[in-house]
Amino acid sequence: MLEIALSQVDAYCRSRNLAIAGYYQANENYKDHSPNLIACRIIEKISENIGSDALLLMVENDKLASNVENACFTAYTVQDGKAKKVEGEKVQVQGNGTAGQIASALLCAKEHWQLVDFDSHLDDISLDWTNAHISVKISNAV
Amino acid sequence: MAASSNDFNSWKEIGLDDCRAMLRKFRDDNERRSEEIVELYEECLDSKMHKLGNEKWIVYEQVCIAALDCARQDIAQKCIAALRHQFPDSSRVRKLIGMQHESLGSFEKAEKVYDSIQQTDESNSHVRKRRIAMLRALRKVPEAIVELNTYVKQFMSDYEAWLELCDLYISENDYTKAAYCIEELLLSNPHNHLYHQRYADIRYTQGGMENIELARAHYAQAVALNSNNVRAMYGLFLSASNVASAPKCAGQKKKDNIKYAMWAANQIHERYQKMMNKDNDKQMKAVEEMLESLQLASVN
Repeated sequence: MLEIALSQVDAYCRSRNLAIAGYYQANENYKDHSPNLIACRIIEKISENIGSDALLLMVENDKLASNVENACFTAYTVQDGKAKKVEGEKVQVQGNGTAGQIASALLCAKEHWQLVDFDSHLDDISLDWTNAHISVKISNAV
Repeated sequence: MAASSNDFNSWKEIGLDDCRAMLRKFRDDNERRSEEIVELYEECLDSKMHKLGNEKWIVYEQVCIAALDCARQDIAQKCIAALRHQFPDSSRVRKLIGMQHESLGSFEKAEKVYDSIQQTDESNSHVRKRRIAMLRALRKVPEAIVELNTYVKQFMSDYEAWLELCDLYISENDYTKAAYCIEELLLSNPHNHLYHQRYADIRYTQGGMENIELARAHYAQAVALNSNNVRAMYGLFLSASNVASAPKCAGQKKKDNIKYAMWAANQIHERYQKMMNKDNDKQMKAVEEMLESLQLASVN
């Protein structure tokens, strides 16, 4: 289903002059933030598709509390099948510190219950995986 | 009609009866909606537990587990205290105490609790599963696999255990053994479309002509059992396209697989058309483009 997700998202992106630039993953184990083999393979596939290094964002679960920190992830690129950490200054979250605040506000409002990922979409295709409804809320908050 | 979680803007509006009905639904459907259960408890049940009659004990258990999931130790402790008071010698309550230790990271204390339960009741399957869950939490996956293998030899009809074992093997990239777990499930549940689809997913991931043809067969079976299984439909499309585009595939086999792929693509297209309104125009286009590009690849 990953194949389907990537092709469909890719088609959607191209129609809007965008491209899949990376992939984020949150491991199920609370303390485990390390990239696994599957994450690396996915990044290699995406890098092939866009012709340059894609970015892997591993979510740091313990930073996703109700007070979300701005950088609650670690960034990697994948070279020769191995994940390499990207140094702090090279990858930053836009918005001058507001991203964390907006995320916290959305979490408090339980918006995460409305979040649709591609997997949920496959369970019920009427659900919108572009999450346009949440994008609107984020734009209003900015 | 049972209330759904979307019916209430905030749980503050919910009445006791609706609340009970929702919790019952979560229990019947085996859904782990922990955040919602904790909210329901706080907004509605906390002050009204005495009105639930005998149902309150199972609700305490349900709320306790939900509270542990959400790291709400205060609520969990309240539930455990009430249950302990009512059922002082119960191993079911002691299991909750073990889970409380687990949630606090005190795995050794939890281990002691589970040992004491198992001493009084060798056949207690819950405790054995908690031990395996602890191994998983401690990221000791190979050990968890060993324990779970021993477990399924004794409790062969525990379908959840087979699915868990399958997941563990997948996390270790051992797809052959993962497939074996689903085969066990298919033997006793040949009419379950989800198991066929899962099996097909694993075979497709393994790759190679034989596996992909097997995947196609099982995706087809899943679709035959449940035509609403969109994953199986997509899977049928992909696997048939793959077979048709293989260099060694020719003649009738190629024609057949192209036919299967096109049928699946049409089915998918129809489903999306029914679901989409004009706001989702761009998504519809993305589906069409994707089906086209994957199909072109197969025909060439």
